[in-house]
Amino acid sequence: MVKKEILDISSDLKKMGDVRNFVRDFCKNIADSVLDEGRIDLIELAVHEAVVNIIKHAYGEKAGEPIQINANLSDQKLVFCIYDQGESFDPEEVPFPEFDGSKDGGFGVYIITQSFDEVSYTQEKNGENCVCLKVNLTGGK
Amino acid sequence: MEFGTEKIGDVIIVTLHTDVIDSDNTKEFKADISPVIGENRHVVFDMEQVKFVDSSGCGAILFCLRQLNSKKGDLKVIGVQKAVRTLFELVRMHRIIDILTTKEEAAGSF
Repeated sequence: MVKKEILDISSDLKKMGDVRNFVRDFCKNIADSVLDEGRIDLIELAVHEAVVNIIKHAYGEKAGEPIQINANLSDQKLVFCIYDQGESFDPEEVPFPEFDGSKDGGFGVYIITQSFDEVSYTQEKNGENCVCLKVNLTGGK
Repeated sequence: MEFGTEKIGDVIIVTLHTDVIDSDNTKEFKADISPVIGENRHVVFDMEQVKFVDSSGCGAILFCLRQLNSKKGDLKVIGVQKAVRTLFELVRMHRIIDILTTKEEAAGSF
């Protein structure tokens, strides 16, 4: 089972439905015994959060900037690598969320971390930022 | 954002007519719901039609909760779909907002 697909979008919050549909379609042939529907719901949510972070923070909500999502599936791993050309992002600077209802935001990075087995933020040689989200299909979360 | 309202005693049931509450529409959601939050203390969101909520959507709902709590009111939710419930549990919102089943149950819970 090897599959690769790419989605190119521009930085626009109105495109988030396209992102979610891309993730859901890419995952739809994975056996329920490997990834159940609840986990796919979380993966869809977490990729959505990663792209929203790029639109809001890397691009400062500036419309029309490029974002590319590379989805890769093998027997061992499901991987979403998301590329942008905006400001780089340091997840270490994001505080742990408050769970007492006192704040409106701050859940995005936590949701991403909790939904994937491996999360990495890197800068490519060409200057692009890449957030890589991996699910281990042979015994992860 | 469109929503319908129904009163049961002093409780207002707000049926959210949207399938998504996310970063794209939370400003609109907060602006449109504010008059309802301002005029009532006991509020129930019927989320039967809401299929997807993101972290911004959670923030908008928590904003409503805080507004109500500040005047000794409260917010409950009903009709929460499975994916939305998974998110609420992940960010522990189910510990601070009661997730109930029916309008009548919610209306009697304040």
